[in-house]
Amino acid sequence: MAANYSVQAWLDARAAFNVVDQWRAALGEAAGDPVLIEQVRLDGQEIQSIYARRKDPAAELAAEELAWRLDEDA
Amino acid sequence: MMDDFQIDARRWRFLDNPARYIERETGGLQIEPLKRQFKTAKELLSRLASGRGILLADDVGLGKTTVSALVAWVIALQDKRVRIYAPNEVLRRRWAEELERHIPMLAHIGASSDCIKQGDVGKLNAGRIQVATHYSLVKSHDYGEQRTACDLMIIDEAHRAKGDGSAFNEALHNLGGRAKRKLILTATPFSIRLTELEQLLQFVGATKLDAVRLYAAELKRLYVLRDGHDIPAESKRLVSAAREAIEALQPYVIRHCIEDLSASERTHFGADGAGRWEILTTAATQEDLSLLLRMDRLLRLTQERRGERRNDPRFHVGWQHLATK
Repeated sequence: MAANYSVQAWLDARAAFNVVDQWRAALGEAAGDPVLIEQVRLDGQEIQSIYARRKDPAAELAAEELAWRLDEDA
Repeated sequence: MMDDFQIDARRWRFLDNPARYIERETGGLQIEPLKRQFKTAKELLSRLASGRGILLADDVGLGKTTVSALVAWVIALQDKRVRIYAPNEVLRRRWAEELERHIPMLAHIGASSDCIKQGDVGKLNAGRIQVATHYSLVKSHDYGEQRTACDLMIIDEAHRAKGDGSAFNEALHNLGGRAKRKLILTATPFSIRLTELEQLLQFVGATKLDAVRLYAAELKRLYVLRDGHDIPAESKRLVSAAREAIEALQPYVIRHCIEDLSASERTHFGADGAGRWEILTTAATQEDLSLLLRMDRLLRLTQERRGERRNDPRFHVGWQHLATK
């Protein structure tokens, strides 16, 4: 049996931030293509609203970061 | 080891009967710690007789001074010279008091206050116990004096000798050879560096310390194990390294911890000694957790910017704090 010292809240947060990072990567790849950027932005809004509806700390933080990135980057 | 350190085991038979010993005393000795202390003193004497030096590393409060004072008397009263080095003047007086406390019980085998010599290191006649300080040993070393020869050298608070550069360590290193046997006392044989323990063990004559080093290396290895390691196999490896290390240490070390004491003796240490320490921790609030997760995220993003991750907040936070409902 492998040792597992992980904390569930951490795993949730890492998973949620991983989604945020994937979205950032997609935004980066869309650079220079206004249509694609718009699509990625809409995806981002969708993801953000999903996280915002959830009440756990991990989702709240991911929603907060995503909202900030939508304002700043997209 | 054959040398002229011959001591007669019949002279410490009184150690078999602690109850009788305290009948004759008035200084507040109690049977409970004394039974164990006598047993330790007997063990020390037989190891010294067999040619070894010893590190007595009992926990604070278990009576290393009492045990060693008994050993000093038994040796000195066989026409031997004993030198005791205490870390300072206060403890030097404490040693003299401890030695004096046993005179009424040991008078029948020749103990008297004339046998105790206090002050600087100097010439010592057979049958005497010199009580001096670490400092006086260093001073004597500085003066190039050779008057440190003895049959038994007792170093109290020997951990103060750690660190290669200290004057005390140097004095011990150079003058230790002039003692036929060495008994060193410390409740903290090492704090962080294993080499501190190695130095003490080498001072009392231990030479084969590979098993001890190996165990230390195995412990260190636990820090670099990755996810998915085989816990039973790792535990087994550690246990077997520990066994070998204990075996290598055993001839040179005697150590009792409060946990090792009999239930009746442990009551002397109050209620705290009886159970485990409970360290109460409260679970993290949602706000705490949120802050910790934010820190974790920041450190991950920092890694992207600087190329290297320098910290992991999980290891700075008591693990129970993170228990969430």
